[in-house]
Amino acid sequence: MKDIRVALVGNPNAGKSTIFNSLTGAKQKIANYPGVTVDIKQGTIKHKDINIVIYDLPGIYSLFSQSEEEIIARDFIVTEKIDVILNVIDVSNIDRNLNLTLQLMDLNIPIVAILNMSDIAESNGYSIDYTKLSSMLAVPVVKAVGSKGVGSQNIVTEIERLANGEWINNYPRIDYGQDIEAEIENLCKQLVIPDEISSKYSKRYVIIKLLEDDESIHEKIYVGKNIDYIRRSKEKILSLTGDDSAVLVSYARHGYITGIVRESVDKRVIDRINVSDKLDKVLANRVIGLPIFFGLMYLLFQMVFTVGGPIMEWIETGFGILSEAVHNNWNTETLPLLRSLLIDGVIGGVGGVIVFLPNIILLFFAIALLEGTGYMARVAFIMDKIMNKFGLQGKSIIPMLVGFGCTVPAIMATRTLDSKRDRLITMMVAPLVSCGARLPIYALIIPAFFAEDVQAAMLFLIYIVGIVLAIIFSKILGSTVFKGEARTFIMEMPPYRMPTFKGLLIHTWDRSYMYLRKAGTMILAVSIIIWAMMTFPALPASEVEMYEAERTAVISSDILEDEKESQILGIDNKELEAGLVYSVAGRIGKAIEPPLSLLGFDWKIGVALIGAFAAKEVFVAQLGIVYSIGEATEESQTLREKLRYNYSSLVALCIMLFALISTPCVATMVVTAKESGSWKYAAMQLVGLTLLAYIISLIVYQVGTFLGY
Amino acid sequence: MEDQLLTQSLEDYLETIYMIIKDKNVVKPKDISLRLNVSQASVTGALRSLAVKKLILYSPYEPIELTSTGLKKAREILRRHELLRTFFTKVLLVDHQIADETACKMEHVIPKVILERLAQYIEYIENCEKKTFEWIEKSGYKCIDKKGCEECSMDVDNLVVKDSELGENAVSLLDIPVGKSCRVIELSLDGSTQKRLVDMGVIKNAIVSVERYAPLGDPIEIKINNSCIALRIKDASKIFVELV
Repeated sequence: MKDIRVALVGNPNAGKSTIFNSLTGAKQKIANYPGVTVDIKQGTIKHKDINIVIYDLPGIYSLFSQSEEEIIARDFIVTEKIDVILNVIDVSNIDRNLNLTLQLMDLNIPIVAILNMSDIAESNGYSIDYTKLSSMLAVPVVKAVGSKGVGSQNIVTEIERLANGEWINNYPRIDYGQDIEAEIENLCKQLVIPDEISSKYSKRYVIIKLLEDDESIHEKIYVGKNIDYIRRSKEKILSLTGDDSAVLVSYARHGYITGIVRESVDKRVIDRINVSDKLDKVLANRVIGLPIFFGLMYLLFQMVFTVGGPIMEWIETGFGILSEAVHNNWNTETLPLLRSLLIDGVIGGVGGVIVFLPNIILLFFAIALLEGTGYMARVAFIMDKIMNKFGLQGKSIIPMLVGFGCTVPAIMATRTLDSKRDRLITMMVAPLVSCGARLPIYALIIPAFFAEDVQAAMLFLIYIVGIVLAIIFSKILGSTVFKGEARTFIMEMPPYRMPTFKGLLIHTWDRSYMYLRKAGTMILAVSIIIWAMMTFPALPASEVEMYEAERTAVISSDILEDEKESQILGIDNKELEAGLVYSVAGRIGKAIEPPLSLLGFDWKIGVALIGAFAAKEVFVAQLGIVYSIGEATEESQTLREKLRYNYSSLVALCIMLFALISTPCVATMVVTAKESGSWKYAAMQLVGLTLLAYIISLIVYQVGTFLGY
Repeated sequence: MEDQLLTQSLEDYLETIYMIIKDKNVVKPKDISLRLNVSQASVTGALRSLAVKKLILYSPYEPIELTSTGLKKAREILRRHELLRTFFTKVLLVDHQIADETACKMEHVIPKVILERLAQYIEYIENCEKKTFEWIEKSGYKCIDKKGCEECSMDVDNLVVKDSELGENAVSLLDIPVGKSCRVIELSLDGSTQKRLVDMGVIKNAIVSVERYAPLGDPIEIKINNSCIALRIKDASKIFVELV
């Protein structure tokens, strides 16, 4: 079977995804392309004796190396030896789309131009002379309507024809005007171009890119005598024409396009964005735009939690039954360690991840809907001023809001941000937005320490502290660690569109599956490690025998059955506690007691915090164990009493602050590492946030103590 | 326009800010004090006065930005400087350094009409294709071509001063009311932002209409050809247009 590698390239919003979905159907996966944080999807079509592998590249406006996407797209086409480029063109913006087409021609690879949404264009009064367009561009032109699957067959036929036949580069050569052409000729003779570049690009292409000030090519060629040659040529062009060569090159290209469009496209009516315009009069309105946005967000979260809540409960019950079944049917005598590993490590760990799946699927569906309809761009538009004040951009608001549900999808939602810098900052501060898993901690502690009339205010305060810290730290990170990168915000506002249901499902599934696979495997591993830390070393046999003896004594005594049961339970809990103290986790808890004591914490809190690293809500269960009351929930009154007896309300506040700010959970770290492409950022997040939590709790505790609380 | 009159020193500040923006994109008070060799305190004072005159946007800890009037003004000053220097070096054949220093002093006082005449003169000398001018003692430059001016290919009447400056009607994009269309005259943004806009079709002579402002007044949405683009006020203020 012959493999043909095809890249799908086009402007953002030109409808690339719909074409990709209609070509490949559900047979697609995220291409494994190292170091790339932008999705490149891959799909395969089998046609006769060939295997067509299609890569869906990020949407770009030009091949210039300005944004991450553009660098990725260009490098991908060149280094992955693409055989055919499918260039998706939005007819209603044909000028701008052809600008990219002309740049693609410089790569010396066969192109198939796909005129997408040609039905809308034609019904809006465009009449296109496809034959003429095709002959002027020297590129086959295919009409298509991605959302309806129209044109797929023709596209495949064209790919096959180009891949099988002898292709000759007949692309039109743009005349950049005599002054520039003369300099191109000069530079052709003068420049020394390293092999790594000349093997990939033609000399003319390289020179045009140099005259356009393309930075990626600059680096490798801007050495030695070349610098002088290039500078002299640019200066000569400037003195002859009074304009910078970069400007002239782009004007020449635009002029050429205007010519093509004039010859082949007849635009009579222009009102495609009429409906969009009307919608924007409401949704992006100066007065009601913001309230509508917050209202929609509120509805979205309502939807996620009301629909997702019950399903989460079913899953939780399911895992409970499973764990119970293993518990009851597996005799404690046979392989007790494996039993405990299965129940506490595997079922507990995997259950903890899968329980969030319904909410995560729903959140991703909602995000796909926001993106698919084009509303996401409006969100960025109306929120940009506020977010810009914090050193971010408008779209960052979405991951932040998602973070109230769960930090993991929040970090995955940063994919909608187009600047890498903004993505990283958002990822770093997203854990500060208090997620749902932290609520049980507050729910346990607040009623235990605070009077009923201030309870709501306390909860609100904790959330506000998180938000304020997130804001402060995005500002700080933006001007320190992630300083320097130019921040431009120029964004197209695509017309509103009805996304296809299939497209929505594909998007949702892709992201949810990644959550399951990547986070799931890692969380399972770390859950097992934490389980091991809390299990080993096991209590010495002598102590186990001691508890056993106590139990036998209770059973053989002649007190009431009820009394017996509660006494045995007490002994069981004491044994659990002793076991935990004896384990690695307990020892670490003891070891970190001195620094923690400055915050008013004892080793028991330390152990619980170690557990919270697996998942924040484990904190509550851990406290239950160390306080010998068995597995506790946030509703546990006994635990509350014990806490009240052992800690002051100042310490309680510090515990909540620490839990809010410190170490994101394992899942967050794993996702941060995957999404940022480096464990460095995950480590930075871990160390930075834990340190911050320590410092803030320290200040609050010490100042509080000093003031006499 | 009385309140727009600038002192010589403020003009120097404005010119310096413009040059630094061209070089580095970002201006901090420290850069200015280094270039002009003055104390930070006097820089702060000058920046305040420029901000009061609405020539720059200045608030502590934020990079300094030129307003559209500020930008126009700065370019005008710089152009005067460059014209004078060219005249001194190319026509009067004076040493570069002296030319520069003198231009620096004269640029603040020279009236527009004299400046334009000088500019035309320089153009004339520079564009004479046969290079038949020579400096003749006591009478200045003379055309030494014996055939005289009849056959000279220069079109003296239509000699246009090479001037990429903005026309009389040029305003910033922000001055265009919502719903109105305008023609792009010039973009003076930093490199990558400008390239992105050009890629999206915002080029000289393109027709752009202002669609709306975001609820909080920033960013602005414009329509070009058939697509809508959102960009920040800061960038939009550097797009010069005229109403159509």
